[in-house]
Amino acid sequence: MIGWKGNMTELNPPLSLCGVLLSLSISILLLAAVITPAVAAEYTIDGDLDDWGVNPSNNSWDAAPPALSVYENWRPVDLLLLAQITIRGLNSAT
Amino acid sequence: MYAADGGAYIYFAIITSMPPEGYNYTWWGDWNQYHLIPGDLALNLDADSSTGDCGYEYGIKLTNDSRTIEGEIGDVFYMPDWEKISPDNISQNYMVNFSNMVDNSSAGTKTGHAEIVYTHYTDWPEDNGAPNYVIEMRVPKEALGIYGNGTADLLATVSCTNDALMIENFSYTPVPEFATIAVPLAMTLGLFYYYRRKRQKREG
Repeated sequence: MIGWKGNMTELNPPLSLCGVLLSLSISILLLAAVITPAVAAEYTIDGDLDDWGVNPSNNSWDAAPPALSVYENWRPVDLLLLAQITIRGLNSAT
Repeated sequence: MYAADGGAYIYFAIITSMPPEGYNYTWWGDWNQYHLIPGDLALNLDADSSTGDCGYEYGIKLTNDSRTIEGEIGDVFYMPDWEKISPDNISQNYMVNFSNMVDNSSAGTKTGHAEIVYTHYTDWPEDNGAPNYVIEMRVPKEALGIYGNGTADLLATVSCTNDALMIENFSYTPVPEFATIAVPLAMTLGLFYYYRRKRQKREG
């Protein structure tokens, strides 16, 4: 009996260690899956878009993923209307 | 325009040449002066163009102009009325037919407030001779009624609506609840404690 008990003592610690490691791995994966979206994006509201990965002076117009980016050249309204009126004027003159 | 999902918040950023206080524009057609203002940010969060005025059931106030809905810059409204603030005669090339939330006793319920900075953009001070501004905001998902996964369409414009930017199919996730974090954490600690006790018993 003593020998049998002794064998169990030798076998159990590695088995327990495997169990703990396996459980820990599963739990960490679960935690990571839940927490990742929560910590994936966090930006300081300061009017500086460097933390988005955006810095036009370095020609970086695209935000770093997973943020989405859409852009075009927003023109000053008066320049746009001036161009339209000029074109309309030229059309009516011809 | 930029958008990102960040846990309990959604983040937006817009670079624009429209100053926060607006812009006096003299139209060459009648020599009258018109005060152009920033448009409010419009959000269609249910991917259904039939809910909400013009299909946008949420809006974030980006101007203090008296022609728009009463409140503070950053206020979030549910089911507001949308209107195009500037007259059509100065908007011969308009891209959308609304720009701002307006007061209407039967529409527009304030659901929360977004943290907003609307300031001169120092990294790109001007474009075509006009100063640039950046609008950066953090909106609580709770204020937008987000309790599950979904996709959204976002629209940013100015009161004349000659320019508009749209982000389509922006994916968002629900706010992680305490239980969804606590359960795996408790499982880990419980298992650790269980195996530790078992080992201590054996050694004892």
